[in-house]
Amino acid sequence: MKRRIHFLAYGAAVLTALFSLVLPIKIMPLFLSLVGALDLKIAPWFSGGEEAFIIDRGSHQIKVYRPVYPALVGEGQKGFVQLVWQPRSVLPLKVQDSIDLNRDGTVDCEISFSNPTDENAVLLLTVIPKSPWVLPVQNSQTTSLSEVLIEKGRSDIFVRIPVKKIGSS
Amino acid sequence: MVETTVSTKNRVQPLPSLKKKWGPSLLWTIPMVIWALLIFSKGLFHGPLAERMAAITTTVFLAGVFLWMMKSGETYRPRRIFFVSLGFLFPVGFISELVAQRGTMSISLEQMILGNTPFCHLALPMMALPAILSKTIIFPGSILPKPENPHAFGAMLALWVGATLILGRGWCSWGCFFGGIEEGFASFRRKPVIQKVDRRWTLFPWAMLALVIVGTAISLSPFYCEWICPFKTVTEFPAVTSLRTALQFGIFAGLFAALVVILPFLTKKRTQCAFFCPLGPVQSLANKINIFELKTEPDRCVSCGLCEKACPVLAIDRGEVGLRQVNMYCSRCGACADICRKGAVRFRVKGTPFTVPGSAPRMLFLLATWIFATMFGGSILANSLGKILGYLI
Repeated sequence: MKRRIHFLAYGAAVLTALFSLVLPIKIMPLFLSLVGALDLKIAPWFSGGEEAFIIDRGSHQIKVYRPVYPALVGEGQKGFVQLVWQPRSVLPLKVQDSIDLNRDGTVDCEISFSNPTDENAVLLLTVIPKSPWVLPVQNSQTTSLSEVLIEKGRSDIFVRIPVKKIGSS
Repeated sequence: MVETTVSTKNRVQPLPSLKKKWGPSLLWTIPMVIWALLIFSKGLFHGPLAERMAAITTTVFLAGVFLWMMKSGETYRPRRIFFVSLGFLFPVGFISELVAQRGTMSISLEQMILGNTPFCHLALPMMALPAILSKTIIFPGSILPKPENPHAFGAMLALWVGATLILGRGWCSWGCFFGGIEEGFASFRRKPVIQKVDRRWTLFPWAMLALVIVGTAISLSPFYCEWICPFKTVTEFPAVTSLRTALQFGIFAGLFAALVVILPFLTKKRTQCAFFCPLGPVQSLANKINIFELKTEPDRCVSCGLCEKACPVLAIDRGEVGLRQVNMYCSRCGACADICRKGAVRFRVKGTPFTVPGSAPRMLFLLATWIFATMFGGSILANSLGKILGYLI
């Protein structure tokens, strides 16, 4: 019995060495596909969440994302909606737009932001709410990832508009 | 246990039975050289001159270290040369890549939104709870590798699982480049200034683990990375644009100076790894399922205390020798086995008896470990050397 256990133990040790050998060749790709199959997602408060629809403005377009209400489980009370203006190169120095964030036929907010050509200039965002679930922003710079954001992408402008669940204070 | 007056002079004297002649040593080294050449073949045959030179230098270096381990029977000192080189060269390659990509070490919110933050193995414990509860990874990176971010969550997870199965907590002494930086500073002095470190500090990483898991769940951001990772100082950190980000950077730099530089220098212990790192407890648990271990033999122990002094993570003391084992914090660096002149501490395959000379378990451990170390650490070394040579040539 003891001899059998020793044999198995040394066998496992040899297998560990062999595992080490095939790790970069076979195991890593296999494991990566397993991770892919797990359907894990980067937290939407980092990634911006899922794209909902695109508004075509002729020379440029605005990608509107689904509202994100950060919470470990379920949804929190406050969140944001991410919008991406692209391409940046055709946008005027001051962008102003009225957006229907949930495609219900009514404008939810009026957004304006500066789009300076100087790369080091500060971008300022103003949001005037037209719906109760949209929160106001007045001449704000980027403050944090989950609240207000206006950032220069390589070719896009990201805007995150703070929103709240209807009924929350 | 036999009381004796064995000198406690801190000299490494591996058992003669672990030493090999030149012939067998070279014979064991040749497969490792072939493995290294396979791993570095891309840089060796298709890369520019700097990459080729780096691949050759790394192969020669790794072969030299492995040959040293085979010929001398020593584990700790050759490993330390490799590990400290890995620790000090990793930031060179990593920072070079960051600067080439974005012109700075700091990461902007834009890069975070685009999912371009490289994932780090130290962040893994914090990710488990949100991943289980909501299939969400609370990290501003990407799940699978992409050209802008090859160090994606999935890649690091795969690597870490593999490393943990092969090495257990040996990852902390053979793979984790951050530990190499610390070990470098711990190696400067011959004798520690602070002789006695309270062993209860080894419990602190469990508190850290709980703190980062809860902190991440509450703040919905990777708490360790955002607030208390000492190694942000030598990798990347949020761009300092506000009081908050200035405070974050201050904490990173302060913890790095204290835990990675000053305390290791004064104590000759790996203070960050042993008393702070939240991944440490997870790796310690992994020791339980790993097939290799360090085992002690009380009948051979003369209570000289050399193993206790040599252990950089406080994983062994005279009391534990009596229990026939080192504790779960052991990072398989080999310091205790090398320093024990009586052969009372040995590498062993679990489920097999304590044998002297015990060369077969050590060989199996070194083979498994070195194959991994060549692939992982060797690639980092070659990459960083390539960057340095690229600047010089």
